[in-house]
Amino acid sequence: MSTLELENLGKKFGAVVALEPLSLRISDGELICLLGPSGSGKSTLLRIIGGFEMPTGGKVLIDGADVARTPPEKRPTAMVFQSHALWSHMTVEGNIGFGLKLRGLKKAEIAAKVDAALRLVGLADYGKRHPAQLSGGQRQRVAIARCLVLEPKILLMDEPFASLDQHLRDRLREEVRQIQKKLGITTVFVTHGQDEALSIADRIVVMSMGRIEQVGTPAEIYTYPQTPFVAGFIGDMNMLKAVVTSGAARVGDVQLDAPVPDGEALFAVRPEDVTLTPSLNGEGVRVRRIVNYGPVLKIEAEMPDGTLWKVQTLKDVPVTEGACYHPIVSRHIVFREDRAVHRVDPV
Amino acid sequence: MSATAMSLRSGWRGLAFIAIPVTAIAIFLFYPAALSIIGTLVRPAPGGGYTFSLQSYIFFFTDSYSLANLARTLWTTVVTLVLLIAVNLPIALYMRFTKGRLAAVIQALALFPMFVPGIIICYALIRYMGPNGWLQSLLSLVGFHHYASPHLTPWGPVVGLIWDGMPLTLLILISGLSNVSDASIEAARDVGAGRLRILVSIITPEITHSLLIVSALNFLGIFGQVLMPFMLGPTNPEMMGPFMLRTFSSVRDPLQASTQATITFLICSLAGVAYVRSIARRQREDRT
Repeated sequence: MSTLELENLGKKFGAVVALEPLSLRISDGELICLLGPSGSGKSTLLRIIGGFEMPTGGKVLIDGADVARTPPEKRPTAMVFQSHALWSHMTVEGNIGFGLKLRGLKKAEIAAKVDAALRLVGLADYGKRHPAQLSGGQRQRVAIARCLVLEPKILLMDEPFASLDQHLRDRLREEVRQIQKKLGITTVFVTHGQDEALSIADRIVVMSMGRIEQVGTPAEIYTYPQTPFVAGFIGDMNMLKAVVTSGAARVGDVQLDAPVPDGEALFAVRPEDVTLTPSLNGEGVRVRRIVNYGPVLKIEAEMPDGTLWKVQTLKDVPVTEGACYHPIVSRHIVFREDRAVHRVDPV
Repeated sequence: MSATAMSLRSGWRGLAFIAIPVTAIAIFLFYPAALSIIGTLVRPAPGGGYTFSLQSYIFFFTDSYSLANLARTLWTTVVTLVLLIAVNLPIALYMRFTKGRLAAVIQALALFPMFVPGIIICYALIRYMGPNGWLQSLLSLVGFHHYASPHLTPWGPVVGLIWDGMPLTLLILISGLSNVSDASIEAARDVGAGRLRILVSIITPEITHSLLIVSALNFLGIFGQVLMPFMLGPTNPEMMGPFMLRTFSSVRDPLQASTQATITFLICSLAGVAYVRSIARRQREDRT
């Protein structure tokens, strides 16, 4: 039962600011995803929490105790590395039991704990094997077991499934989520995959350029992005510039409500919030491309001025390439000065 | 053309490609070596013809001087090998885990002997550590007057061989350490291992192959050395290299020189076998 609090935590590498001072509270048993593109500072933040990087300033509080200057070997954290980082000269049992051995546990106790950890990750019969004899997915399970066996207060996962294929990644992600819920362990999970973050996290921390852009549940992040960066980074989004006049703006023949002062604004519209209705007079948007994704169709449509619309509809909605349609927008967000200032939800 | 015929044709091409160097090795290396070895075992009989004889080996293993030379060679080899690893492992570790200008300078200094001919190293060491050399003068300046030069003592060749073997040892150790990932070190720290524990339990087992290769190659190089022990070492007992040279050229006893060479070859083969086994095991592991 542990909480993790970060207070004004920042990191500089020489003159380069890797992490601007940030604060964050992670509740007991919560799984939080640090999501962002390469260079956003998410891995640096995780490594600071794990003790592999010293912060330039700020605190890392685990259950109220500041561990910001404590070396990793003395922190109540455990990290799963992207590259598995298994020790090739040790067996699976050796890898998992190494930390317990260092803690001076008796052989029988180590064996029992290792066995339990192996069962937890579904590798009960693999204890005597060496890492070279395991598949990528099995190696990552061993790496997870190696962390869990130590019963850490905080589990840190640095893009743990990045080297695995999509199918295996999906399966392991589900398994990790089940184990995390079962053990109730507070977890910080770094990923640059938005699907991964949306499917696994209790809350997502979206990061960019060393700072936090937004913190929220997956639904909040997806539905109500607070900055254009978040809107563009999470899922598909139509980002349209338009001028607001008297509480509304026009993008082609589409009118978008915007009860904000007159002037230029950025409108974010999800493809699934756009409906296409046939245009009888050839106005509106012309469908350029339709891609069938099974249950849904992803459509690219172009306005006469070249502006592209991304639209997503159910597969049984009749849409034809080359035909003209009127886009009808049911939900949109208005951004000004890089902040969301208004949103319109479906009635 | 069928796949089998193509495979056969490319097989013949491959053999033709290596035929010249293999033939040259067979003619200029294996054949004279085999003649020498056979010559120590098959001797002309007094009444004509040839007879099998172990006489030269019996002489070697019953002659206290020959045995003392063999023991001196083994001692020098083992001591030099241990010191080479003891000196180079910390440097390799430092260079593996430290980045920056100082690491580059240390690397350049450590690899410098590779570009210096052995004879130059010998003379430099004699001038530096020999009686009335620079080291003695420098120590005298700071008030130390009891310097005993290692020149012409068993430690003389050890110092020279360490100098000579340093670049190769360091390069192999650095190469081995480069295979130890930062993540595996961090993972060890993460589960609670301190620096010493990481060195003993993680790094050393991960570079076993490199240590074995370093040991085998240096063993081969040191055991058969002539120049360093000849220039820097004592004459009694002496190492097998100068012993063979003297037996052949001064004592003019080619049979005993060949016997000494065969014994040296057999002892070195053990290191060679360890080296080949290590390489083969590594290739097997890489395949899995």
